[in-house]
Amino acid sequence: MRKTSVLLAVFILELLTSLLIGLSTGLYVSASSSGDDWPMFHHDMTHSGYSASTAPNTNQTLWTYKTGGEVYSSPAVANGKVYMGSGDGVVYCLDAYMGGLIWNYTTHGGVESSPAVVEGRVFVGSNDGNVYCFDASIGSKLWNYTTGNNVASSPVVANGRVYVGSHDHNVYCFDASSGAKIWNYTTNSWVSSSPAVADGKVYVGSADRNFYCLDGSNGALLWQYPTGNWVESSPAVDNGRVCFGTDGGYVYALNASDGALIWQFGTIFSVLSSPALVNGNVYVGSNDNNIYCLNGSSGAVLWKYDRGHWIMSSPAVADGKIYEGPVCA
Amino acid sequence: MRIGTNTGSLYALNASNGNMIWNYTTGGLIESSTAVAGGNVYVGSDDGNVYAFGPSSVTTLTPTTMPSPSPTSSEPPFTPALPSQSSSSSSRSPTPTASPFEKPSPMTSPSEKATGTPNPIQPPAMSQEVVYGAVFAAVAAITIALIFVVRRRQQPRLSSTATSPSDGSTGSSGL
Repeated sequence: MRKTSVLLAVFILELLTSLLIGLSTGLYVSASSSGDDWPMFHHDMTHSGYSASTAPNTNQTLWTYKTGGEVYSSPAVANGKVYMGSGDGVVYCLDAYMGGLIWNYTTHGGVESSPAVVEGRVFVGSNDGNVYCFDASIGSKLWNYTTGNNVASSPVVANGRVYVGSHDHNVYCFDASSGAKIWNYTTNSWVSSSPAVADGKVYVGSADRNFYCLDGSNGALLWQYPTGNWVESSPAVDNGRVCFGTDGGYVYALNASDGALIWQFGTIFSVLSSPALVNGNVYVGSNDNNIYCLNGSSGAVLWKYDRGHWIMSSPAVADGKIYEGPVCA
Repeated sequence: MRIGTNTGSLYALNASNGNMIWNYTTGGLIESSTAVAGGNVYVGSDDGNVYAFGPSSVTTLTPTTMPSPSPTSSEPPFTPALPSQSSSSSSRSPTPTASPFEKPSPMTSPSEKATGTPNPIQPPAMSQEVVYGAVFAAVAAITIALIFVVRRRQQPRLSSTATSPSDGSTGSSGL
């Protein structure tokens, strides 16, 4: 009798433990699979710069992680992991909640390209001239493609294809699973701008002073717009408009289908920052020290904020807040 | 070049009016763009750190000489200049006419620091695998425990019910 009750107690304890494990893993699932990831540069293939995530109201730090170089690559966050590159040439994968290192991979050049994480794969460029694809979980290299110069442009992934620019003047399209080159389009100078993809079209700027719209399927030129200045800013596409900045200090809004000018807005210095398009507004930083909020339809200034510093970082918008890191020298 | 004065701040502004909500000064310039996910904000800095901001402090994994948060911006005097031509502090300043191309190493020899063989078939994410495994184990444990509990509790009852007919028969005969 007594033996039976002891055994029963053990089983009940086991039951409780199992339940606790089940509950905790359940909580972890809900935390890791929340739909508010930030999987690539400026959040998505159109580069909206907008996340549906909540955002902190204070500057309290959760953690910091020290790399061996300058971190100008923008972090990508997916499935509870943070991916970014560093000037030390290493691609890092960290735990998003604790900041612990999960894996890293050393390339032979600085990594200023921002990773894109799609369907368990990480795509990123390096200044060793390669575009890399890694397994997002363990960091093993799945493929790489060697271009003729630095790949500072951030890859964008859409419909199983990877689009990225290189300083060898080309815009490339690769098969995401095999790494096979599908097409390339040659401009007349560096392509450090990160392509945006919408409705099967690829939008990208070049240091040859033109802005390009290419057919995503075969790389054919659909239209181009001469700006007169280097286009290093990455475009964002929304509501049939494509917005980008130029080193000449202008912010442009073009018709996404035919490249016709809708409006242009002049700031005093270069606009290297990439615009965020949220709720019909355009948020963009300029090296004239201001961050601007423009009306997406007219380009009229809704507000501007002068912080006394250059702004090269691109704004992110979430939870009614804009996050923007200025540069001062 | 970076002698303590080259600091960059991350700003959180109100999206509707541009008013500052908070800022945080790092030990280097901020050229990285911010990511917002899972209620947290992530950004890289030229001081070599990646910073995570969030509503509750979990841990600091790699202690670094981190500058303390500054509620008000106290950056050094700044002299604006055309960035494309003058940002000489950054060696990666774009100069398309004179390409500072770091010579690409042969494609086949990037150091395979990360272990694992190239596998074209993508396995499921590690975290999900672990979670599903744990859930399966928990369910299995519960089932086994239940079977044992039921069997343990049924054994005495079976023995008593086995004897009851005879008890019943004796009882009825008694009546």
